[in-house]
Amino acid sequence: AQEFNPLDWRSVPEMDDQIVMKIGHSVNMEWSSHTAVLKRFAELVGIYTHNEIRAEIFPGAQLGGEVEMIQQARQGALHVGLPATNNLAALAPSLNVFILPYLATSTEEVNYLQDEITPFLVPRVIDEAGVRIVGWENSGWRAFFYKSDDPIEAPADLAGLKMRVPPNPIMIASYEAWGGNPTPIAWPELYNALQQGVVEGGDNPVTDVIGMKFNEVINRMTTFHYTILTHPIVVSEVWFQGLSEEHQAAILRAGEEATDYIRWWQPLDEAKWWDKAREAGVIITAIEDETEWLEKARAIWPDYYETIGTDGEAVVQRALDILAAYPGE
Amino acid sequence: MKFLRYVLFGLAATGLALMVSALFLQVVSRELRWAVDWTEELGRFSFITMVFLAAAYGTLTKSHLRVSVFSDFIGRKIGVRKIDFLHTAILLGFAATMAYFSWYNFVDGLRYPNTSAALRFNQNHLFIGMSLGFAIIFALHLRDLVVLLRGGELDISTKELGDE
Amino acid sequence: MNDVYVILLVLFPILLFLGLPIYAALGITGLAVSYLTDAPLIFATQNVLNGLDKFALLAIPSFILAGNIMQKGGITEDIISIFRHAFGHIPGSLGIVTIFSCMFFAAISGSGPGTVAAIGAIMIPSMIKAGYSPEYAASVSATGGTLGVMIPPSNPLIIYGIIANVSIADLFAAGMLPGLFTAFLLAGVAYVLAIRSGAVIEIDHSIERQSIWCLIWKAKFALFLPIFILGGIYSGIFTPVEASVCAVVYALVVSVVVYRQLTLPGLRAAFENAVRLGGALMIIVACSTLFATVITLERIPQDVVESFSGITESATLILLLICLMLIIIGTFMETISAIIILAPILVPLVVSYGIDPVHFGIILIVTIEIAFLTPPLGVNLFVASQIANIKFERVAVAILPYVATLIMVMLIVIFFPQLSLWLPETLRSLR
Ligand code: NA
Ligand code: NA
Repeated sequence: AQEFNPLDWRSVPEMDDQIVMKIGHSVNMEWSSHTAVLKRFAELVGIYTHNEIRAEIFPGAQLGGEVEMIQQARQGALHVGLPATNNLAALAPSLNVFILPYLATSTEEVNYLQDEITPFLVPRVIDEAGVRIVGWENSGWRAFFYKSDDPIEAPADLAGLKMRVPPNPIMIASYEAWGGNPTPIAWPELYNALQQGVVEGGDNPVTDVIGMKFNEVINRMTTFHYTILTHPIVVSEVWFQGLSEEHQAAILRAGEEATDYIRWWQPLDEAKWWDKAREAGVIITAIEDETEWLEKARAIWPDYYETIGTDGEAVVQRALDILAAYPGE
Repeated sequence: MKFLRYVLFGLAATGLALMVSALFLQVVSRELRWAVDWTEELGRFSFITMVFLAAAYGTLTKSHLRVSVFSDFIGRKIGVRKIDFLHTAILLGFAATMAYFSWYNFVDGLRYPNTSAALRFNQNHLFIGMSLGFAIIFALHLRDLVVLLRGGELDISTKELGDE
Repeated sequence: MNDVYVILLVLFPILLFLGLPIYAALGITGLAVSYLTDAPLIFATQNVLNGLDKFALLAIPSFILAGNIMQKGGITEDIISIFRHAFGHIPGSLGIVTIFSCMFFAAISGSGPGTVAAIGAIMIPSMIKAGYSPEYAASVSATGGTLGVMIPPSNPLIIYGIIANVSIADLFAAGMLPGLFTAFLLAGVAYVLAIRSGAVIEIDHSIERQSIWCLIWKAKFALFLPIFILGGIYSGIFTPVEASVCAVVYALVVSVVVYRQLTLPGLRAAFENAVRLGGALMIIVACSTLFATVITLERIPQDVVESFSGITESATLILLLICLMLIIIGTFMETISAIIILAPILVPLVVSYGIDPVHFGIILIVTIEIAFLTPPLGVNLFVASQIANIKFERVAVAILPYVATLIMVMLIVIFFPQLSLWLPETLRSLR
């Protein structure tokens, strides 16, 4: 909380007839890729609208949980949100396509998929949830964090561990496919639950694990690539439609540029969090061969096409076609 | 009234019992390594519904918390009926607003479902319980209004169920 | 001063003074502010419902239920007999027992109202039955609840640790000594107040004639409950919230199978109490969430805090000012909301004065807990007055000596940073 703030979204001066853009998110940390992308977005909106739109940011779930904030955005009480894709999927099922385990296996592929499939998803998500996706933030690959003498290497290693899984049906099913014990524990209860051994671990990007101080109550992390935590920047469609064309264009431009910015910033930041994890004494291992993980997890896909929508299989096919056309690095 | 009281209590107590059972099952299933993932959701949903029904039950049994020092004092000066009348009028408006807008949320939620992860339950249906709770609160205050308009006095709470 | 401030400073107090139910006063104020700020009212009702969608809240009605089942099932009586036998001649013995029960319970519960619900549901009826005044019984229980968040684990300290970027383990260690110190101080106040108010139990000769070991043996299943709860949590079988329902199941099994005292009407009465008290409390929590959201959207707490920076150069003075403001803000916000909204602004401010954020975390907790004991929004007070079945303003008066004691604790915590910082520093040097 004491670091220098390089982005000065707060410097937008107050003026008469100014439009206030209320941004809500659920992160408590002053600096993380979530907060950085929104601060950049807020700053750019101020610049491109000649300060006619001024942002106010409400962090730390002050206004409610992520799903709740999206409902507020749909109703127009909040204007911008940054929900985790798996949480927004509770309202906008189309986004479940991103949750399918092992859909894309590198950050570059994920970025390419986001860029190519978003124009197709935008009208669907507006219809499903009343919010417009204007940009993306990636928080990094979900990694196992846990307390154990031995590292997780094969899916069979999960059998001995009780793992907390986010409330998303596809993620729960992935664990079951690996033979794990997915346990529903509310996120705010997780620190105590880990400390007392109610669960031994869970999976989250390193930023969350260290940001939530879980390093105090676990000893290991293991990286693999079953899914990446992403957050779409979403704008209330009711509010967006009430803006002038110039303002709408400015919002869309700010969304795109904030996405580009955070794709540069996040990997640099994530490297620092891995350093912090190592300094905190967390033993970090990587799963070298992910074949067994991938095969078992991909086998559940057909069961979950319908959670994406009645045309779920076609949506998945579209995503696969895009990935097949990925030009490579 | 006695009928309504039994029904409301029955529903709220069922919600509470469901909540306790769901969370207890969560502990048991985790120990036995059964893959049960819906217990947390059932517990939360039962709890939320229970609260709104219990709030209506609280109105029926007049057990809501209030600061009554000043209103008792004013009541002695200008008459308890005037205070009761004012309370009833304000609460009617409040309960009506809450019942209407929570119902509106339910209807809006049919168009925009909020699907839970494990039970695949549209969580906006919980607004039915909220709307029902406030609708009953509205009806109870409406009854108070009728009593007051007829020149009667509002009854004082009866705490224990069954000692009527 | 804009319209929103007028609503908050004029409408809200008027509604309270008129004697409307507190949930309605909070809800009406929230609706009025929503309307004024062009927030759709559909959002307001959504916020009320989502205010209940917090997992930790589930513990409150189930602890109340567990306490009621224990009482109807005869379990409570056995425990009280032991205390009567051992300490019955000491004035306020049951009050002192309440404080120390809260202290032990605090080691499993991370929430203040949860602690009041769990211990109060057992101790308040017992104290009243033993001849103490309901005000005494309720106020000592409401106060004991403050230990729930000082002694680890503590939900508010976890949130604070994440916001302030300090170790939660350090915060937990820092809360330990002030928590124990507060417990002994409060027990002392309970003793003095008992002498003054005559809260002394009559000697019950039927109990005096039995040996203490006999009483302990008779109460073995009752005495096993805390071991069951603490053991279950520390061996990782259940979380503190789940512990509340395990307590219900344990109380049911013991009442039905062992004591065979729990009748169907008794069970119904236990549920009736839990529904009535739980409903009355939780609807207040729900409506206070709307209240907190609308004042946050208007940036009122943030503006108040920001007006503090640069007001003085003295670290002590700024802490005292912050505490004063927290007590005022805490009169109408609950702990977790207050921390989430204020800590991000307060922490950089106090750090710039050279104050250790761990130390400040404990100050923050103590101060906000004081606000839990003060009307209009004092959740601990509400829980205790509901269980004691008396008007909460009577408890609000009876609790003043405890509030004064806690303010003294707050000052001691401020002026003696070592009370908070010694233990975490020592533990760190051992690592
Ligand atoms: Na505690
Ligand atoms: Na208060």
